[in-house]
Amino acid sequence: MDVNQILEIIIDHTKQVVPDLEDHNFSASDSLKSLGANSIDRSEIVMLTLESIGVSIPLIQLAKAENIGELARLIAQYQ
Amino acid sequence: MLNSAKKSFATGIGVVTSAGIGKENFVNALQKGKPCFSTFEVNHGGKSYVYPIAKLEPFNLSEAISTLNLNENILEKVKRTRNLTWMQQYGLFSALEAWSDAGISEPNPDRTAVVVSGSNLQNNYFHEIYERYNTKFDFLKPVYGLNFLDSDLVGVISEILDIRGEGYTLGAASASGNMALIQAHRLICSGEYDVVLVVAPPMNLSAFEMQAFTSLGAMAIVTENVNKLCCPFDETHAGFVYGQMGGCIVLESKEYLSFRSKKHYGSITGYGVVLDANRNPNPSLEGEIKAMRKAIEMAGISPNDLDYINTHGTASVIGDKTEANAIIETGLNNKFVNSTKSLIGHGISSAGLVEAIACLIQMNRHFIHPTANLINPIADSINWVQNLISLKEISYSLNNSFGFGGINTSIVLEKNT
Repeated sequence: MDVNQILEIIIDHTKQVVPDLEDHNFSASDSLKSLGANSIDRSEIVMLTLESIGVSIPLIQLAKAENIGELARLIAQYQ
Repeated sequence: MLNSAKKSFATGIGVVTSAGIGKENFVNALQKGKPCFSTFEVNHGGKSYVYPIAKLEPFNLSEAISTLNLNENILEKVKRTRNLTWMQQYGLFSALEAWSDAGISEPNPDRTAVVVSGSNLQNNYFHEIYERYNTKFDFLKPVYGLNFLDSDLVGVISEILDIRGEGYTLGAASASGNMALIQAHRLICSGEYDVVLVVAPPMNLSAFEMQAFTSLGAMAIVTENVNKLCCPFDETHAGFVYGQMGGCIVLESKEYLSFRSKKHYGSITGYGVVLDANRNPNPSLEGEIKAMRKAIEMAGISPNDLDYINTHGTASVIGDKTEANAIIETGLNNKFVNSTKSLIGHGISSAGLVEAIACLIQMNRHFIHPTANLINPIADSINWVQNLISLKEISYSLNNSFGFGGINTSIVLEKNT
């Protein structure tokens, strides 16, 4: 799975966890925090993404991602 | 006499039962006096098991609260609150219905508290989590780390209503609802708080607890007509029916009430809490008598002043017999006596609070609801309510709740005067 596909999965799960963002026009530079996702929401989004892709990565390894584009790249590296 | 002058006042009510979402559905169900039970079936080891149940209907929280009188700030916070479990959604609705009913606009957050009744509230949720994640443990929902705590609901309600006093859950088995009310009453009477929300979310039992209650001989076994299954104080009584229910009562101090000139439903004027020094599920005649006497004494009234008793009345053979004897020995057999559990089942941790709400509703709407399926009472000398009664003046009610482990509680409620 490439980075863009992973990014799409992250965006889908972000809309699922934060329904207010259903109509938001996402870009790779979006930060989940500044979109209004709190720490619980963020961990849920990441976990749902990992489950969809079928890859197990300690969440602490993904904590340094500043935006959803970086998050997608980090996840892609572990595949 | 203890502190007979001290009262806490009920100004808001919220309730969810198998009869529907919201207070008016509950009022109708009490007046109608007919049970609405169904069955719950599970499979274990290739075998089917069926239990009786009074089920809460599925509901949409945001739609349900749209009819309530809540300010924009609260509605916005509810909208932003995610990851609510089944127990929490119904518990939060009850709290918001009661808050809206009380019409409190700007309480002092530091002088407002929340007490949630019950412990071990979400065993069915744990079961679902286990089923879903047992084979994909790596992906266990992180929010489970928050949701599994009963006290997560304290956090949710305090955030939404901006409560900054104290808050916790309080467990006392089937007496939890009454015990939470008693604790809230103490908080008000101590002078520390103006407003205390007492929330009894529905206990989410799994098939494991239902099977164990059945094995203990406490829960009724399904027969052909499930609505005839729960017969408190009738010769045919054979166990309780689990009823999913939740409720909330907003209690206020006399000072705060007069400051905002709000009408109230009634007040808590006395209570009795007695342990039997007994770990087992069996009730104690002595403990029940003591709890009722203490409540009446603290209320500063005589037994003659009482009009009505809302029994614990689960339809357990030994439980009913012990309570009937306790009522007779306390000299209360001439009072109107009924069992709300005959209509909506036994909520376990939430039962006491929902039944206190039933007392307040009956006192304010001038009726006493029938006890369903009570045809041949186990004791003739008690004034059982078998059919709906209209009664102009119900000044004092006694609400009994007894729990496994020898926990006896009784509360005196006084009608608004």
